[in-house]
Amino acid sequence: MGKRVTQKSIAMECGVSTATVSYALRNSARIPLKTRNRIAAVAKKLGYQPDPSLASLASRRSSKKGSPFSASVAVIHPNPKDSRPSRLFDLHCHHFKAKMNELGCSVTDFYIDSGRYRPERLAQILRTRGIKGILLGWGKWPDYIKRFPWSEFAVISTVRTDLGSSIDKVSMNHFHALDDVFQQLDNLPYNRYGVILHDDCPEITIKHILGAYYANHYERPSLKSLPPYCFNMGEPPERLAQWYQKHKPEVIISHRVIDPKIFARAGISVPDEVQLVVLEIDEESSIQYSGVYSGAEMGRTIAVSLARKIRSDEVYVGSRNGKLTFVSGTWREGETLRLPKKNSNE
Amino acid sequence: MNMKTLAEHCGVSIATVSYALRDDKRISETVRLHIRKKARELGYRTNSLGSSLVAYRQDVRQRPTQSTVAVLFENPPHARRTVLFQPHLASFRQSIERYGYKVEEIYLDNMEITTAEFAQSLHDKGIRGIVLAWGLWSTRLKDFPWNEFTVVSAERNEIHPALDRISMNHFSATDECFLRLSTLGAKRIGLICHDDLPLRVKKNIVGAYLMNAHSNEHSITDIPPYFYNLAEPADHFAKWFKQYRLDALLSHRLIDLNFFHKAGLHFPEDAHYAVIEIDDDGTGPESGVTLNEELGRVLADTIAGKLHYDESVDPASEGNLILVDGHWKAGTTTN
Repeated sequence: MGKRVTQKSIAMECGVSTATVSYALRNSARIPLKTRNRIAAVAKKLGYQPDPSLASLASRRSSKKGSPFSASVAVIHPNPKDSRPSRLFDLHCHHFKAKMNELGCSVTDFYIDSGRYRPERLAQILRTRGIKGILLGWGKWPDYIKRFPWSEFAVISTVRTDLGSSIDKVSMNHFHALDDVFQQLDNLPYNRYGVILHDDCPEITIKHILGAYYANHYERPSLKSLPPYCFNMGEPPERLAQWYQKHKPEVIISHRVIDPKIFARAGISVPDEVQLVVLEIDEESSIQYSGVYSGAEMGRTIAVSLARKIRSDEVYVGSRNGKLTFVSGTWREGETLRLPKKNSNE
Repeated sequence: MNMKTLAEHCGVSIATVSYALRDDKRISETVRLHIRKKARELGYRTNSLGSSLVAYRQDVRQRPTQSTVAVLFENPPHARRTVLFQPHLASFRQSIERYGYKVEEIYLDNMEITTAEFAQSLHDKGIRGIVLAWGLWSTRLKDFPWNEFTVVSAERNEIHPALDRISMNHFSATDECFLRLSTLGAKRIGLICHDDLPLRVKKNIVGAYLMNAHSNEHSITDIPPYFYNLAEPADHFAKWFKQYRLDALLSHRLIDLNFFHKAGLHFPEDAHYAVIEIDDDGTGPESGVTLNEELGRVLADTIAGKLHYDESVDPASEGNLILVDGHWKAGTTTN
């Protein structure tokens, strides 16, 4: 048996430095494609076998010394820092950055509102900074961003942002959240649950919520399913009042937080006449809602997904179908749902 | 906790500990067992990343061994779920090799050692990564020390809530099939599933089916899904199909077309037929959604990424669910 083929032996055979071999085998854009292909061919010829343990150790080595991080990533925000979508994204972004740092990656924010960067220019800046991964923020994206070379970077977004099929997505698991809600409601004497959807949320999310709503009704034949209500931000309360009067839900399951004033003006009194549960809560609020909170898990999951994607881009070339990672939220009991008093014997 | 402190606790040299943990015959069996017991009690674990480096030392003659990922099967090689998993195992193997790992298949069905011994045997082989294949999982691994390994499950099972699971996106596949059948003009679409499908999968398929049935005011919402047993005769199913006067049928998995022939049904003459999860090589006549190599590839990317960042299972947090979309394949069972 001969000696193990190392990157050093490939470098000698090719007449380049070991650093060049290392970059080339990680498919780095720093090395011209022609050189990358040549080095890959020599590696194959010599029977080079990568050792994933070494790659893993090496990726952590530099951060321990306190010298530069192993990878840099960017968060691109389409709207200004103080816009509503950017502020809503803040919580997730905060946990994302903390986890990214833990994994040895540095994070830089880019705000691209008011046409600050052309896509080509932005790509150039990211390349120069050695940025390999991108997280897409919340908000409205300008049309010209389609020209950005997404396939050059490892990109993750939430389901709210849809810029291309190769981009991996992370989402709260609304289906599972609704399962949790139904389980909580099983303990209560109510049979009529009405669901409120928001017209500004992605179609796929609406489908998941409705799917879980009907699947849980299918499992509980004693419940009566009601037609869902689709809520538009800023609409007058009359239509909501009509829906409420017509179907008389005992429990309202709202996808997101709705201003309590709107319920009051629609004649819906929470929790005296109707119980309220919110399916996805990721903002601070003066009311303690009963419902599912997304918490830190979303940002953390985005971080590990992006880090893994950077790693797989080093090994694979070519685009793949995007995948979807679901994060479970946590049920928290608040003041908008009255649970029966606990049995004192328990 | 390192080898030095363990050696101090045992009152032996570091070299003795090192040999003992590698089960080297140079150390007497009594001492070996004693040191291993102590290591377990004190929670000492070999850092297999570190061990892999040792083989690169110039004074060590042993060649570095190739890192291995274990694929665990609950059921024997001929069991239905093991067989169904084979195409995904093949694409997993191909993808994981590019990261530098080799694959070891382990069948648990006739294993007679305890979970602690099993975990130790994996450590002894330097295995850190585990993929759980398809199977009817028992509670065999209930006490398995998940936190000592990096684990990904290839389906939505209930083995441990902290494990990351990768699955076909059954919800979007059902949605796509329903839409295709509707576009073909089908008005009364029935759903048939195997009765042994995992609970979560069942809920997603039934949910996506009912959501579509409800989304159109004119759609029929009173057709109950049919749950099919692999060995049952066709008459019960035929009765259900007639009772609801179906013009299209949606099936979770492939069902032998002879079953439908026995029920007097031919596709697409009598009804359109689509399969939500075509789980063989996709060369049959069925229309439906197929995963091809995606599942194996995502499995490989995920476990390799987790191993790279040394993410072992955190029993206190809930695992993620990663969903893979399939592609629509137009067969001859739809027009």
